[in-house]
Amino acid sequence: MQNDVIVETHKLTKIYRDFWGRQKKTALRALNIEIRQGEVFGLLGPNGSGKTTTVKLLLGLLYPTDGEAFVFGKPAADVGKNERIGYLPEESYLYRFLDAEETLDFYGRLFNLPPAQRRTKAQELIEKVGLKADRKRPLREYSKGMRQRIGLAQALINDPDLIILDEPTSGLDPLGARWMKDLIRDLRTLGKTVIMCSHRLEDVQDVCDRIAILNEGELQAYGEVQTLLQDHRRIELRASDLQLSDDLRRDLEELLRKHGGKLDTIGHPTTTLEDYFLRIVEESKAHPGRRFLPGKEPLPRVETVQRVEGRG
Amino acid sequence: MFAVLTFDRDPALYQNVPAQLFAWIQGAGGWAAFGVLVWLLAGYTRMRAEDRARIAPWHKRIFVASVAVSFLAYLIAGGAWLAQFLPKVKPELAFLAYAYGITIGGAGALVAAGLSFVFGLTALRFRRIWALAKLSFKEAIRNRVLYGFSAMLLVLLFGSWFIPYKPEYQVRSYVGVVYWMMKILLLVTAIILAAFSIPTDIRRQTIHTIVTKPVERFEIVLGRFFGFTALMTLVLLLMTSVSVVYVLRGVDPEAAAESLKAREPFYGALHFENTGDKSKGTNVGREWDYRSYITAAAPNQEPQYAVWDFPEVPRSLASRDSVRCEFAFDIYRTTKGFENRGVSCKFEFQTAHFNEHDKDSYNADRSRWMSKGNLFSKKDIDEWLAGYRTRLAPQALAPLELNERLDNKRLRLMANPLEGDPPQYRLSDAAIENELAEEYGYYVVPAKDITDYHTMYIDVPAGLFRNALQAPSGNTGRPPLQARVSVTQQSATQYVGMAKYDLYWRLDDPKGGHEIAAFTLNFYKGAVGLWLRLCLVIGLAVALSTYLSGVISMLVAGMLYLGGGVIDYIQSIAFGTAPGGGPMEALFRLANRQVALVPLEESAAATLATSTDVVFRWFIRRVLDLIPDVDRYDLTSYVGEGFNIPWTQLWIDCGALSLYLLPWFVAAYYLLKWREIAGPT
Repeated sequence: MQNDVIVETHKLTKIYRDFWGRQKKTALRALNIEIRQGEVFGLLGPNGSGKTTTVKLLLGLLYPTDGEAFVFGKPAADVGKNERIGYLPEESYLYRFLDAEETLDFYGRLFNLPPAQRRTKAQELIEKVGLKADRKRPLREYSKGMRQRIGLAQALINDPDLIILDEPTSGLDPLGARWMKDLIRDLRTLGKTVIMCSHRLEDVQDVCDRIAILNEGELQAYGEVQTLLQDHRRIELRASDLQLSDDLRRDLEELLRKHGGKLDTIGHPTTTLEDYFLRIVEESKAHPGRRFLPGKEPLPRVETVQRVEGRG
Repeated sequence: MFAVLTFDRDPALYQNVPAQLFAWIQGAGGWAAFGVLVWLLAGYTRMRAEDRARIAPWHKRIFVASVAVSFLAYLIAGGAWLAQFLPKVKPELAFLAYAYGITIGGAGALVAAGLSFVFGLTALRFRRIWALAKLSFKEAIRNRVLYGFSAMLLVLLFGSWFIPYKPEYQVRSYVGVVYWMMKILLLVTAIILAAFSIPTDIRRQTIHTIVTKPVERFEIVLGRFFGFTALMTLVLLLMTSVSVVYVLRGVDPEAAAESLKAREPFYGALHFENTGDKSKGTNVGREWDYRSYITAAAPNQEPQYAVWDFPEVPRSLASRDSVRCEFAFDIYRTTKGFENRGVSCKFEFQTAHFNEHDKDSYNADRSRWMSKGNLFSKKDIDEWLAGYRTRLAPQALAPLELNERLDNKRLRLMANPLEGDPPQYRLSDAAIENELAEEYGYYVVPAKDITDYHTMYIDVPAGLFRNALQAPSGNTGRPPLQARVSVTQQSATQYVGMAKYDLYWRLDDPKGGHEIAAFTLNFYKGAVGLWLRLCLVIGLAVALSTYLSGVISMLVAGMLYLGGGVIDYIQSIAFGTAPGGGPMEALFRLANRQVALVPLEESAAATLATSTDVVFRWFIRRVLDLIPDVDRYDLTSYVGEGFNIPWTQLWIDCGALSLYLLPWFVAAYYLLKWREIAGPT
């Protein structure tokens, strides 16, 4: 195992069996992956593809039928490895009768943190996840987004080196999802390793350095996001301060023909709906009371770079 | 008043602990051996090579050694069991080999099964267990579980409507009702809380965020156990405090003066004389054979005696003026007797120094000195001392000791001089009785009327105890102190029933004036019995819930508890003492219309039925090890009848409970450790 590899699986296999030992379902088959320190690693796949099973095997919630999984060089079933792990399950399964402070205090105790450190850390995390005003409310009164935030706070209570997030943006509104993704990027900046398990592809594309795609328990693709997604047959060219005109099109077609290529499309690029939505919300906060009246006002415009696509 | 403490079995004593410990090793060891066997066959064979490689070599070595020892010992036990049927083998020898075999085999299996558990304990951390315990505590409170206890108000508000007003029954009824209510409320709540906690955590997946922290899974079991136990302890403490106030306020003064006590009894060993059998008296046909009966002597026959021997005499009693002897007997009447009169009994108390031939001399002395009107002249005292010197002569005391005794007696007799000439000395009746009892080692109450089941007493002069504690004067073959009871000729047609625990000395001072305080303390001690049962059901339900679902855990724990309530009956089936035999014999009898008490006629079918029952009984005995002995923790009768609960009893009960729960916790440790916390989804 290389020095910077902190998660490693060898032929990791999980077969679910019934009471009598009969095989029910192969959830994961001979998975071999390595996750390095400081990267955001995405586990992708449709429902039932084996990504959550992989996470549960890494956490010791399930035991492998065959093969092995190592986290920080220790077998996945070793409790000691959990000292350096933070885990956010898909649903934030926390005790709903506790409030945010009690929740973080409870999980802090499980890490044997001394009382003063628990208090400081809890306040710091509550502020970080934006629940300061709601810290005394029991979790049963929290919205899904708030539960996800407190869930993330409990996953970070021990300042972990490896954070495992199972569907971290599920159930979050676009603002929440953006916040979560920014936080994941911050964690990467701090040198933490993040394993993210999701079927929201745009989120994975946004934040992950490397991914593994699973289907029917088998590894289908594995590598850097940029490398996997790059379309080597096409070239993208972006330009600004230009007016879209027939002359421009003709000149570009000429130029591309000269280099043996051909122009596919030319036009104004679109931004993502997420960016547009966030901008609208930000502007609305900046101008309280303003509202859009159809036919009276022009639509808010998108400002982005113009894009020309060519094919070689 | 009406206070009779009956024991279906002997109270817990330290000297019985080793035997119980051996029985535990045999029972729990048998189950441990079964567990190890199942693991070897079903677990180890399926274990992956890489997981086997991770077992430490020393761990393997100890495991293999203990399994080998266990296997050999069980082999020897099996051989010994078969050997008992061989004609040349002595049955005692075979039994000894069998007992040692299953004890050593059980011990070996316990080591093998408990090895990982013991080393797993070293990884436990108090802070995590405390966090989980606190969580359980908060969970129960915030889920409004405690509201259920408001049902106790019903008893406090309306209980007195239903409690008998007769002073004889009041304390017993009040105590019984409040303990019963506390028992029902606390046990039901505890069993539900404990049975559903871990399964709910697993179902709601809240356990995922716990086991992915550096938490040993057994810490979850302990956290739940301690959390619920702490909660129930607080509730129990509160309810007990409210209850004791309720009882003290509810009982009317007459009953309170008579029954709010915590007697500290000092028991002896009972035997019978002139009944034909030392161990029992006459059978009067009562179904409950707890007591044996004696009656007055028939013409030309020796009187029947119930005799309590006290091999040890507590030194503390000798310094008192009198020591209370209490007793509560059952009366079986064959004739109506006299209106409003009990059965007349004679009570004799004698020490080992008492000479049977001195009875007449004692009676003569007693009549003489009692007739003096409590005033003694110097001449009387000198005569008394001369008589005493004569009686001491056969003991051949050293002159120094003889003079010391005589001088001491003279000082006591002349302690209260009256002014006048010639001088006179005052001696009260009690002082005379005391002097005579100390001098002779004998005290008699010729006729005392006994009423049915009422606790009565005789204040015996403490001089008797001072005599009993004097250095032995030759071997009379009698114990230091005896209480002998016989029925007088006045009640010749009546029978009086006695059991070992029906007569005792009061170690506490009945005139001490701290009876209410002692009763209150005893009431809390009685609650300890309930607390032990709470620990039992919580431990049992939590351990079961590591593998079973909440509902099933609750049902199994409940059934085991209820099974514990009828353990005596199950024991009678397991050991073949139940009338009518086991199920096959009973079926055979039913088919052949034979009553249970008639011995079976020999036939192939009868042999087959009884042999099948032998196998059945073996299985029942194994199941018996799983059933908790809940009745031993029920101390209500002590409190209700006004008897102090000995600390010995509480300590031994705590130990017994720990030993009962330990194998369940070991099983829970493995079940939760091996269990996959997450499901397929």
